[in-house]
Amino acid sequence: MLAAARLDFSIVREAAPALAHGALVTAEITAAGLAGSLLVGIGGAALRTSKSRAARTAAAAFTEFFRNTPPLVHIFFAYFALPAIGINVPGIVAATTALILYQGAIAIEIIRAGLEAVPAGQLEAADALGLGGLDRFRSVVVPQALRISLPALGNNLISLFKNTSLVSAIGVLDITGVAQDVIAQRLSSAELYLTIGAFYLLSVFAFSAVLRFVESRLARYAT
Amino acid sequence: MNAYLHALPALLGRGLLATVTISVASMLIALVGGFGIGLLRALRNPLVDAAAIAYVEILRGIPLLVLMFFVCFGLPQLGIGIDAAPAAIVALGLWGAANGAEIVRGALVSIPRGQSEAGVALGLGRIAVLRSIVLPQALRRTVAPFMSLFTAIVESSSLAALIGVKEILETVRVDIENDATLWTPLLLTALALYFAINFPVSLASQRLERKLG
Amino acid sequence: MTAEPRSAMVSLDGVRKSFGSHEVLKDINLSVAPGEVCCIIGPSGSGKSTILRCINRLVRIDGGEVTVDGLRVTDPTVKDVDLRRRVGMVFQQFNLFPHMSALRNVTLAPRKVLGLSAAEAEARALSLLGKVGLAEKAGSYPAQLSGGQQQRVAIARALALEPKVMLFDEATSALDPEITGEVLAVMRELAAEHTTMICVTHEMGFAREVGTHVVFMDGGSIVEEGPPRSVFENPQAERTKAFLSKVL
Repeated sequence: MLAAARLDFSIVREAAPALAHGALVTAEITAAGLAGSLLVGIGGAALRTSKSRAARTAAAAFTEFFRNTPPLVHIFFAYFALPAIGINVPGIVAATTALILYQGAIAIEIIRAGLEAVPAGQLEAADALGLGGLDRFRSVVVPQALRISLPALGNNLISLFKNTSLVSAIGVLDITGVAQDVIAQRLSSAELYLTIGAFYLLSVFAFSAVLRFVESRLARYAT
Repeated sequence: MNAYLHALPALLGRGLLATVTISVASMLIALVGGFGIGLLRALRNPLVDAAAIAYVEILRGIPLLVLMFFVCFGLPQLGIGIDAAPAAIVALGLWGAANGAEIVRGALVSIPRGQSEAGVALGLGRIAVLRSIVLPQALRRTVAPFMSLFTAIVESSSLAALIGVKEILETVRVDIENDATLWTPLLLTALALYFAINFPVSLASQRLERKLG
Repeated sequence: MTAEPRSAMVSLDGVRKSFGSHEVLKDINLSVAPGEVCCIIGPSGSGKSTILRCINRLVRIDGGEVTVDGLRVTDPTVKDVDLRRRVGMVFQQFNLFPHMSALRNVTLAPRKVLGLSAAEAEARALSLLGKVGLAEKAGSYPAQLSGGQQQRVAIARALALEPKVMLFDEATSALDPEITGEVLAVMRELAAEHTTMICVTHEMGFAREVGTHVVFMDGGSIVEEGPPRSVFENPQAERTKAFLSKVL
């Protein structure tokens, strides 16, 4: 109670428009990150399960490097590295690129595991029906692999969403960055952290609810 | 090159030491807290369950960075002053405990129901069933997930740089501020250090997972 | 050997196959005429299922020759798809596609392989599902069907390409005993329509009553073959006698 008395949420009301804009930036980075990491995941998983040993090794090395090093360091690296190789992009692009590579590396492993979990009998049945490689992949393997991968891909999306807060470290004004900005000008900080904490928490609950709904819809043909 | 060599001792000395200290201390909190909360949930008390679920969902639902900022900068406003390095350990430890609780709970529910039924049929009480039948079997299933939690904690310890703790990343950042040309070797060295700590643990965890699963 | 290669629907000639150092098929010779129901019996691990997989090239043979409706499986110019549209296969574990309704399981191959329109494929599938007694289950997913129903859908799926020969790989082994009857009834009906069938089976009653030809295999070789009556009632080889005395 004593602690609560020291909180004054009027500061949050004043900062609301800026925070709303920050939330939009967070949403944009999440959307771009999701699309990018899925592309990296699908492409990487294709390499990871290909016949070429070199491709498999390269994809495995990519995954192991990114998932064993901190995304925050990747963001700093991209922030310095992209301009250094002549790509002059805003910080938000560098940071999003770094997040795409990190979450994409995890997506590679998730999708690979999904592909390998499709039972051998399914491939045999598709072969026996004369389905060619592409039809077999598209109609039989991919839908089942996606269903198997979906819960883990959902967790990866939630992890991506939370990791977007790291972009504030290089000055991007996502919702965490905006909060930091406001805090730098005013003395109070607890109110703002509680507010953006609630924003992240409620968003994660919403993601989880949607994912659970999709999974339950797909469960009707679970075996 | 000279400037880089000049910067190395601090990075490999104090920086690396801080990263390892923060990670290990946080991991200890995660282990104790994770087992504490996970085992409390095995009691199936509705109140305890609700509190544990709330704790786990909240800690896993907000970005660790926001939690760390709150502990370091928000708590003093509420009368709880805390230094940066302890704040980083508290935030990482609380976050790790929430993840640890899920690991322990997952391992406990993965033990087939028939095992505890057999224990009850032998006349053992609930605590005895948990202690002598379920827990010993569940314990080995927590090892690989806790190892990968450790790698996540090591990665996340880099967030302490953003509250000013002089661990690996912050040491590098300060050096880059002094001499911007050093970013490539310094950041690559930082990445190599994190990789050197995490990769062996991650490999061992994957190998163990494959052996058990 | 009374085989006449020209009139045979399926013929195996000196077929050999090894997995690693394990020789699964040793010099197999077999001929199945159109309309014949060939039942392959024998202990587990005798190579029965591998024979079926050599016929539609799910397994590539190491030596010898297999001919299906005039197509040689070792001929590299013979495409997989040409072979497989002539050969329908039913699996022990059904292997229905779990993410597709019964109807889509049956229409998939006619659409993708034969290029039928959705409407044509659907009409064919509904008629086949009716034939196996499951017209009203067309919209159900495999998980919503019993094992016997799933296997009947799988038979309809295999028939949808109008194959020249049907392979049954222990089609009733994964089913509860009280359910095998509904699947065997469908197989009997196919036999009565003079469908060419090769059945690996543990159902001795079916082999005896429906089979026109029975093959006993052991250790990768054909030990004895002939009309059901002679194999079951007057077995010549000791190994056949020993096997039959155990299962009958």
